Amino acid sequence: MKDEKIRRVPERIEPAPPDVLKDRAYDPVPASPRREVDPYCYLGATEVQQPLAYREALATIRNWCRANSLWVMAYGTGCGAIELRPLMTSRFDMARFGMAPRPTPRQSNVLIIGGYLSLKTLKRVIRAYEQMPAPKWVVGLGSCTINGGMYWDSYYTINKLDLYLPVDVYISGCMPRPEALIAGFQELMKKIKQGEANGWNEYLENIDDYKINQKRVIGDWRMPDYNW
Amino acid sequence: MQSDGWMTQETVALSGLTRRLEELRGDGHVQLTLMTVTDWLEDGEFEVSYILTDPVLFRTVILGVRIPRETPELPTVSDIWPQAVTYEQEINEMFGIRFEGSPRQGVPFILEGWKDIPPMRRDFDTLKYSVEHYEDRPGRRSIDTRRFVGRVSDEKSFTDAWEPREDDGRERKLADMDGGAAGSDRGETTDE
Amino acid sequence: MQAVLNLDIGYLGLCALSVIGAIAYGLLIGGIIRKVMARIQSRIGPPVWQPYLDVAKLFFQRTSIRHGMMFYLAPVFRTVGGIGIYLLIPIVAGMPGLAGFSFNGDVLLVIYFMFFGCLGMALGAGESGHPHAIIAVSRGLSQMSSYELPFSLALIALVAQVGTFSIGGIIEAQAGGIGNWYLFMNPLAGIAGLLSFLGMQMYSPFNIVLAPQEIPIGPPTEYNSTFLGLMMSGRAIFGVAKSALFMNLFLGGATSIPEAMIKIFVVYMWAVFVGAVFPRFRAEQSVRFFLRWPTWFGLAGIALAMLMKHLAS
Repeated sequence: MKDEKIRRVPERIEPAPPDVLKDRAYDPVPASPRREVDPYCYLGATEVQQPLAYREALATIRNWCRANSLWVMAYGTGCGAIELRPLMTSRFDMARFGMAPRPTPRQSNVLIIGGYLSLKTLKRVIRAYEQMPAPKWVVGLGSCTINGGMYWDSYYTINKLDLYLPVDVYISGCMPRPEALIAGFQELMKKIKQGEANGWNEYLENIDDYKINQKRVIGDWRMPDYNW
Repeated sequence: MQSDGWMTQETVALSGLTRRLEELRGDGHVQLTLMTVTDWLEDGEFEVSYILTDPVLFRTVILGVRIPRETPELPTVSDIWPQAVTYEQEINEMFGIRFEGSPRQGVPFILEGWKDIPPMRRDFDTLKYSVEHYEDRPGRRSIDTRRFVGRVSDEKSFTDAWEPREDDGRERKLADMDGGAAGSDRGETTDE
Repeated sequence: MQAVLNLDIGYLGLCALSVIGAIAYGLLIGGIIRKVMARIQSRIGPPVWQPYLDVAKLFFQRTSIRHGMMFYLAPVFRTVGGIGIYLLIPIVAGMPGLAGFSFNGDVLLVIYFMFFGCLGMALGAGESGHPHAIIAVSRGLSQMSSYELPFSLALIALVAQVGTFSIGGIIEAQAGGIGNWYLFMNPLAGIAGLLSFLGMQMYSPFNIVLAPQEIPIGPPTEYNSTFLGLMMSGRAIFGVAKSALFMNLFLGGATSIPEAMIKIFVVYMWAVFVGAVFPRFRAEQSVRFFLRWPTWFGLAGIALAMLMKHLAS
């Protein structure tokens, strides 16, 4: 389930235009262009600093609530989506973990990448991911998201998901059974409760790198850089 | 013309294509079930097949027409069957065959922002394209499933077949393209 | 109106407490409903405290996307509509904080408030700019105007029979045993009220507005985080208030808190069990349904009320 050897932050990055990577060494958190523009979307750093004990207690409660109320984006990206149906219905019943399918990215917390991602789908998935409100997690499902799976030599599917989106939990298998999905989601819940599942923070901190990677594979990028 | 009771296969020349299709349609084959393409790379030809069905007598005709690969152009049939527009759009995208008079030619159907030659042509190397454009995660092993065919299914022969060999296509191809250094300088490595 | 003018801080505090209690009770009922539905579908289902976790999580969301002023105000309208109805309706007769600001004519105000929340929701959904939200709002408003008709007919029958527009007066008229409950005194108008209550609660046969499969979640498609948490709270208190209104009009009101809780729960469950059995109506089907049998029952209920009044006099 949890593969610590997988680096989330992409390593091989093509040389970027100099103005994008300017002064990177002095600014570890590069500002996304919308951060100053939109005062309604505050991103952690602007929060009021409270006493440490208070913050820790609040974070514990917050993470516990978040972990026990995961709303899943029901967007079937590949053949793995067929394994989500038994997970939702009577036999495996993910509602007992507090999970519920949500049909809109605005209300969901978990984005499940259910299998291979063609570039056309990747574009939509990036949009959907960026439209989700901030505590959001990505679960990569099946070996297609890990190393391409059986589509490793396909001309239109990506091989490594974590170059383009921050993946919190990988679930291996082709396809993983619903039991494996449940184990993966419990792993995700454990990480959330321990405060380790910070994929969305990494995405914002390394947004330039992710954008470079995304734009390298997506031929016609006709979107704004960040799709609110 | 070959016939298999209810399914007939026939080939026409390019000049007689539209007339033959209209004949068949008047004969009761009113449904265009499928349009598909075969790439005869060795002959230098594409074969576009129209699969027509007679829903009353349950007859099917597979009508093939061969066109040269150099000038892949065909008249459209979307004025006879309007649903052919989507097939023609997809064939145009995947094989580069141009249908004269068909709308949505050149409009992306699946491949958004595609710049290479049409990917379903047989001279398109999909593995090479994938290696060039999409990152790999090292440590992946692909086993040719043909090794398992015809073997006795005991444990020893299974492990034998599972062992990596010299002729595993992926490693060799990667080695060819990278100048003999596959896997060693491709980003991070996994700890075994 | 005398009670409204003689407000003091203590009474307002009691009212605020009762509002918070009603939201908590509505969320608890929501959890019980999810559990019941899960058991009907032979699932285990979420724990009954799941709605509390959901609302807490939504208030803990870190970013929220806004679309404009009406987008902000719609959850407020919805919640205020719910609280307004709740405070007007006497939940437990005579108990401070729960007795409600009942006065003569408040039935009409309550019906207006029920429309008010939905109209605010419609404006907010329009501001969000999502096409699904607008489709769902048009469906919801047409369905709402159709179930308002049998409900109004049942209410006219009730008011004509009792002779007062005050909910308190209606409760007093039903005092003295189950036989005096309006549901049994005028069963035709009672049936019209029961059927239109199904549309009011928006459970399964009439949940085309939320329609989780066809149009993603309906009007709140663009709503997220705190807005959605506020809307869930508003929905909780709205459901409690509507059930309490039905309880007061047709089931004789309540004289103690446990009685009120049990009656509200039973009224709630009536919609839930019907919803568990029947599949969803399309918008025009539900409009046709409400304008057919419940309307006839309502008209017959008015006739029965006039007849009974004539016989009594």
